[in-house]
Amino acid sequence: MAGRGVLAYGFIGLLLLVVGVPFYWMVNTSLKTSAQLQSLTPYYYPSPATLRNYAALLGTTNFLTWIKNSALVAVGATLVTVVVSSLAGYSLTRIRYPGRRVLATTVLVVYLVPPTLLFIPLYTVLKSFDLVNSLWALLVAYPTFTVPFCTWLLMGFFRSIPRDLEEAAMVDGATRLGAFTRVILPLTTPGILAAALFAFTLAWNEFLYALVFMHNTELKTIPVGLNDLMFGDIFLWGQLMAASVLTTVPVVVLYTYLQRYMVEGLTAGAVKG
Amino acid sequence: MTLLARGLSIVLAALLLLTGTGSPALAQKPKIRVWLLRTYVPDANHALEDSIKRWATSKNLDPVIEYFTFDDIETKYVAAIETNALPDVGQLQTIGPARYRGMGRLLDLTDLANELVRVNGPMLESALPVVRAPDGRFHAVPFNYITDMQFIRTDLFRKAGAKVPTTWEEVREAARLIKAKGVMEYPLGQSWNRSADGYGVFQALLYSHGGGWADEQGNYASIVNDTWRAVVRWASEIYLKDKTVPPDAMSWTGFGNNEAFLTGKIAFTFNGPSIYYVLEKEHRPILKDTLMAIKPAGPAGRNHDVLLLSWTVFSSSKQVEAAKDLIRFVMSTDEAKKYMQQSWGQMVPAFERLRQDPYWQKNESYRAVLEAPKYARTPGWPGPLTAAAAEVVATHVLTDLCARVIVDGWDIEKALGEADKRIRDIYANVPSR
Amino acid sequence: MTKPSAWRRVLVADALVGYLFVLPLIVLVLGLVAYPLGNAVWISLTDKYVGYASRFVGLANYVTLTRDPIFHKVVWNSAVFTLASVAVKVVLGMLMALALQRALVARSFLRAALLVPWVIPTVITALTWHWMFNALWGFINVTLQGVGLMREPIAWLGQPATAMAAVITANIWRGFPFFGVCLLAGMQAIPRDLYEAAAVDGASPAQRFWHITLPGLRLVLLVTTLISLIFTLNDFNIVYVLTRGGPGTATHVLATYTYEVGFQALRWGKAVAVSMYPMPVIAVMIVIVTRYLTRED
Repeated sequence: MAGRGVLAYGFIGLLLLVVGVPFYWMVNTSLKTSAQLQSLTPYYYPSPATLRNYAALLGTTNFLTWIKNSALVAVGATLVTVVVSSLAGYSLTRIRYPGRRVLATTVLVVYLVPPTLLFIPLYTVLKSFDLVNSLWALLVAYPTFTVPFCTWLLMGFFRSIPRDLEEAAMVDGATRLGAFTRVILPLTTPGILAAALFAFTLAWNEFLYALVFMHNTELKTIPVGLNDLMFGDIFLWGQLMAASVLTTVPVVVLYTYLQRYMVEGLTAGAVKG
Repeated sequence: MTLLARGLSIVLAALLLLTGTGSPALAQKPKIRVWLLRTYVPDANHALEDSIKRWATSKNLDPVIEYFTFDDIETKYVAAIETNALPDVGQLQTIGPARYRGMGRLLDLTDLANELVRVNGPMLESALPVVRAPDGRFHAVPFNYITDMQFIRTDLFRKAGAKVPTTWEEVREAARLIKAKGVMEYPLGQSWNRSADGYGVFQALLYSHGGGWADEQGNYASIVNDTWRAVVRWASEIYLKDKTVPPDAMSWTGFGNNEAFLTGKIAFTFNGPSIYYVLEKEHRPILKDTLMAIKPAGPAGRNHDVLLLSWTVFSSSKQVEAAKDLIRFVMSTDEAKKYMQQSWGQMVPAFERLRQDPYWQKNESYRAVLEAPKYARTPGWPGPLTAAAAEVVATHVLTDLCARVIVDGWDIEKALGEADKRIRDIYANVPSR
Repeated sequence: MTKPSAWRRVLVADALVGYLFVLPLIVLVLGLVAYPLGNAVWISLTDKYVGYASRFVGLANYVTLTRDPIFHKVVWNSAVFTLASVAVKVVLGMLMALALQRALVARSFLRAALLVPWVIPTVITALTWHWMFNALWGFINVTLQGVGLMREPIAWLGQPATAMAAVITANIWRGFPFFGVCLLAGMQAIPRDLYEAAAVDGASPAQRFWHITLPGLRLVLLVTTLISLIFTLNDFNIVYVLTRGGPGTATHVLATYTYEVGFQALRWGKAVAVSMYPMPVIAVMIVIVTRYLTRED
C-alpha cells in the first residue's frame, strides 16, 4: 500500500518539476530588468530582484482593463456554455427521441472549420445585430466554438452514469428536469467543472475574434493586450512574464476554490473521488 | 442546487450590467478614425498622438486613435477590407500602398504629396516606388523609413583585426577571421528565417549582386542562373562551410538576432536600428563599442531592402478633406521635426528638409542610418512593386530557398528549381486589376 | 404498471423535454454557425483574394493543393505533430489522474499546481519554450553544458527533427493537464464499491486499472482524445511562435500554412480549402464516436 503511494507521489513530484521549470523561468524573468536578462549572469535567479516590470505593467499599460475584459467575457461565455451544453449533452445521451443521433453528429461536424476562417462572415452576422465593437460580440461568438466541444465532453461524462439512477427518481414522481438537476448533475459535477475549465481557458486564450471584432483600445482582452508588449523585434520580456504570472495565479486559485466548493461539497456522500 | 442557481443568475446579471456600462458617452463632435502603428518608441508614439490631438482640437473634431503593432495591423486591415470597416486615416507598411491601391481602397493623394514636397523638400528617390503607382499617381505619402543596418561590435572586430565590411565578401572574411582568431565562436548572426530580418537581408544580398525575379516591366524572369547560384552559395556557405553562424540561427524569429547581439553572443548582425535604441535608452555598456554601418555592396553596387511606413486615406472615408488635412498637419515641417526629436534615431524621414536637420549628425551611427535609405529597393526590383512581388515576399519563397539548402540538405540546383516554379505560379495567378 | 396509452403519453412528453433541452444548442448552431460555415465552404470553391470579388472555380483549390509538395509536407507534419502530441498527452494525463486520485495530502494544491500549463496564455508558453530551446543561451543547453552533460550546443530549433520534437514537447506541456482533469473527473464517477469488491477478490492494482478504471473511463477517454485531436490539429500559436513553421518547412502545419496563405498571401479561397482538407477524416471519427455516445444500452 505504502509502496504505491510512494510511486504516486514520486510521479507527481516529477510532474511538478516538469511544470515548475518553465514556470520558474517565467517568474525569474519577470523579476529581472532586461539588462539583467541579457547579461546572462546570474542566470537562474534575479540579482537584484525587481518589481519594476510589475509596476510598469500595471502602471503604464492597460493591463487591468485587459483582465477585466477577459474575465467578463470568459466567465460569461463559460456560464452560457455550461448551461447550454449540459442540457444538450444530457438530452442527447439520456433521453430517447427520434433524430438525436443525427443531431449529435451534425453539431460537431459543423465545427471542423477552425474559427480563424469564420471570422469574416461571423463579423457580418454580428454587425447586423449591431454587436460589433463591444464585448457582447465575444460573448456571442465564443460559445459558437466552446458549446459544441463542451457538449461532447459532457456527453462522455453523462453516458458513464448508470441508466437506472434517474429512472428510479422519475418513477418516484420527479420530472425530467428534477431528475436532471437533483440526481445527475451532482454526480457529474467533476465533469461539469472540467468542461467549464475547458470553456474558460478557450475564451481566455482566444485572440483572433478579440482582435478583429473590437476596435476600441479599452476593449482589448489579455491576448490582444499582450501583443502590445511585442513590437516586431523588441519584446518587453519582463512585462510579458509578469503578465503571465498575474493572469495565471488568480485563475488557478479560483479553480481550487471552485473545486473544493463544487466537487467536494456537493458530492460528499455520493460517489467518493 | 437552487442556491447555486440563484448565485449564478446574480453573477450573470452583474456581468450583463457591467458590460452595459462599458459604452462611452455620446460625443458631440464628429469623429475621425485613425489607425496608428504602435512602434517600440513610446516617446515617438506619444509625440505623434499629441500632434494629432492638437490638430483635432483646432478643427473641432474627435480623434479616435487606435494602435496596433506591426503584425496585428495587417490582420486588422485584412478584416477591415472584407467587412468594410476601414478607418479614415491609416499608417501602412512597405507593401501596403501597392496591395491596397490595386483593390481600389486608397484615395488619390497626388496633390497632398506634391504639397508636402513643396513644404518639406523632395522625397528620397527610393520612396517613390513604394508610394507612387506606375501611372504616376500617389496613393500614400511617406512617413518614415526603419532602415536595416549592419551592427558591428567594434571592440571584437579590433581584437581580431577585422575591418568593417563594405562588401558582402568582406562580411564573410570578417566572420571567418573573428572565428579563426578565437575571438568568438559564431560571429555572424544572420538568419534566413520567415521574418523581415531574414527576407530583408537576403533581398539586399540578392539585389546587390544584380539578381532579381522580375524584369523591368514587372514580369516574371527565371531565377535559374549564375547570379542566383552565387547568392544562394553565399547564403548557405556561411552556415555549411564557414560555420560562422550560430547553429540554430535558422530558427530565430524576429528578435533572435537582437537577443544574440545584446547578450554578446555574436559580433555582428543585420537589423533595424532597434538594437541601438535599447543600447541608448538603457545605457548599456556595449553602446560605446557598437557601430551602425550601411549594409555592404555587391558586384552590382548597393541595392538593399526597404521598410517604409506611409500615410494613406481610405477611399471609404466620409471625411476625405479632414483626413488629408490631418496628414498635412502631422507631416508639416515643425510637427514632423517634433516627432523626429522624440524618435531616438529610429525612424528616418524621407523628405529633404527633415533629413538636413542636425539631429542626424549626432554620431557616425546616426549618420549611417540617415544615409542608408538611399539604397533601398522595393521587392520586384528592377521592376515596380506589384501584388505578385508582394506575394513572393509574403509566402517566404526566398528564405525557404535558403532553408532547403542549409536545413534540408538539398543541392542548390534543385532548390532553385523549386523556388523558380513557385514564383512562376505566383505570377501566373495574381488577380488582375 | 401503467396502461399503454398513458405510457405513450409519458414518452412523448419526455421526448419533448429532450428537444427542449437541446433547443439552445440548435439555435446557436443554426443562428451563428450555419451561415459562416456555408460561406466558408462556398469560398473554398472560389479564387477569393482579399479585397477582390471572387469567381467560382469549383474544386480547383483542392486540386492545386493535391499537387503542391509544400502542402504534402504540411499534411505530414500535422499528422506527426498531432498524433505524437496526443498520444503522449493521453498517457501523461492518465498517469496524472491516477496519481492524483491516490494522493490525499495537499490534493487541492497539487491539482491546482498541475493545472498551471493549461492556464498560462499560450503565446507566453510558446515564447518561454522558445527561450528554453535556444542553442546559445537557452535553459536546456546552458544547464546541460553547465553540468557537463553536453559539449557542443544542440541546435534544437534549427534542425528539422529536433524542431518537431520541440514543438511537440511544448504542446504536450501545455495540454496534458486537460487530460488529467477530465480523466480524474471521469474516475470520480466510477463507483467505489467496484474497487472494494475487486480488492476483496485479491485483484492487483494493474488488474483493477485494466478491468475497472479503463472500462469505466472509456467514453470520457474517447471524447477527450477526439477533442484533443481536433484542437491539436488546429493549433497555431505554439508552432507559429516557436518556429513559424521553420526551419524551412520542417514544422509547418495546417494552421500556420492557413495563416500564411490567408493572411499573408491574401489567397482566401485557397486558405479555406487548406483547412477543409482534414474534414473527411475527422468527420468519420466523429460519426464513430457519436455512435458510441448515443448507443442504446
